[in-house]
Amino acid sequence: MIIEKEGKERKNTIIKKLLIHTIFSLIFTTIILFTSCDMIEYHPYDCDVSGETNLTVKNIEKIESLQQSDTLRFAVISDTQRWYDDTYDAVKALNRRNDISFVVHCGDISDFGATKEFMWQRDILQKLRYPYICVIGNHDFLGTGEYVYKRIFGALNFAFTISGTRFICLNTNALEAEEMDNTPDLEFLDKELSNIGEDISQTIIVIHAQPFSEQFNNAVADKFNDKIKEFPNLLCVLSGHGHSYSDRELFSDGTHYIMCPCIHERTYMVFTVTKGNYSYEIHKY
Amino acid sequence: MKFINIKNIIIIIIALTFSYACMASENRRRHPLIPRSGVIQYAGSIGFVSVGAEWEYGKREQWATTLMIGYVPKRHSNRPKAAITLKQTYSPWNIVINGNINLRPLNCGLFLNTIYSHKFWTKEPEKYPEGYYQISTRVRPHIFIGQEIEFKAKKLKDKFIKSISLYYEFNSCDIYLCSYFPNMKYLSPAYIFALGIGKKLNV
Repeated sequence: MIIEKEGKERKNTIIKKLLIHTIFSLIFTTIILFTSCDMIEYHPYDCDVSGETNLTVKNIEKIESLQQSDTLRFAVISDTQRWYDDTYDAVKALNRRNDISFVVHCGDISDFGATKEFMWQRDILQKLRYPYICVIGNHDFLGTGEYVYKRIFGALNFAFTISGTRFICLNTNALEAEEMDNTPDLEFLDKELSNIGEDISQTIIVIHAQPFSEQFNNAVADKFNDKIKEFPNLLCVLSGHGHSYSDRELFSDGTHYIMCPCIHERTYMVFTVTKGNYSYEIHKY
Repeated sequence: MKFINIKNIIIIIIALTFSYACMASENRRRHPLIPRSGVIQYAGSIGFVSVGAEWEYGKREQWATTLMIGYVPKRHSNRPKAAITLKQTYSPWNIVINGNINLRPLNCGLFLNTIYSHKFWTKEPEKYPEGYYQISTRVRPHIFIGQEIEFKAKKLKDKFIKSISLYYEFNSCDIYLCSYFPNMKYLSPAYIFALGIGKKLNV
């Protein structure tokens, strides 16, 4: 009797052991399968960027190699932070059009500056059929966001030319900067001014936060406005940050500061630039 | 209201943990303040590698508090960072498979992680208008769910290390969760959960 009982117990233990082995090998296989898709994370702010990087330079190259034409048409979106569904729908809506050359993003790609937020947004924007450029927004500075922005997109201030129109893209988030005096970078503007070629007939400025907003270094607001007016035929200043549409002459001097609504408004703007003139439409999708 | 800040909350949690640990382990030989386990973990949103200590308590040792320090590599930022984690685990079942193997089929709980670098703040710096960002970039609350298996190695019996546990856990933090819920069309749970694997040496 005792031997029989012991035999049964042994059988049970073997079955139990086998069960445990199967369960655990199954679990660990699932883990390994899962980990292949970016599930290893050292920290939400670990700056561990995978996938496409240095996109500003790459996309500027693409934009500048586009065919030159008298009429330039481009789309503007802004403040896509934490609105992934809306951003994805905007990309799909823009891809359905076939009359635009490139897309301008007026900043605030992430909401908290976490590394993955940038990568999720980038992966959505990469689905665009067009090249695109992003300026940095104030939210993109949170935590280690600035480093991630620099890695994925590139420099904070940059410029490019298409069909005789110079686009100057500037970081204006002075409240986030450690040394407020350097934002906006007026030296960069001086350098740009001295390098303006003869082929450039007009200029558009792209920023995130407008002068007189809490982000802007308002001690140099007038200086900034005077400086950008020195560029050949300044058409307008594009911005984001306010989350709603507005078109104002902030300095009552004919310079239009146009604010693009946030993506949650499910709106994008389309600008048409001809020689010496521009017009825009606001599209709901 | 000034009393309710992260520092005080952490101190209260630690104090409570120790008092519970003292009550729970009255009839054990080990001093309650001596941790039951030394822990080492890979990834899991608290650092590349984290080390720490764990205290277990409760009638069936179903509660555990873990304090860990992790190393966050530099990668594309300016410098490496340290991160401290305070973790509270609840594991309702501890199944004895046989004399040598125990299984905890469910480990779940919360942890708070703080990262150390001048770029981060607990409370918004004064330069911002009040309630500008409404979050702390330094302190991250996480939730997690996982499993654990404990091996009582015969050769180690009666020695300093009584057993070795292996565990894994999936965690997600506040910023991922509040990104996921309004964007369930584009984001899937695979986007917001991160995996950590670890080992405990139980004494």
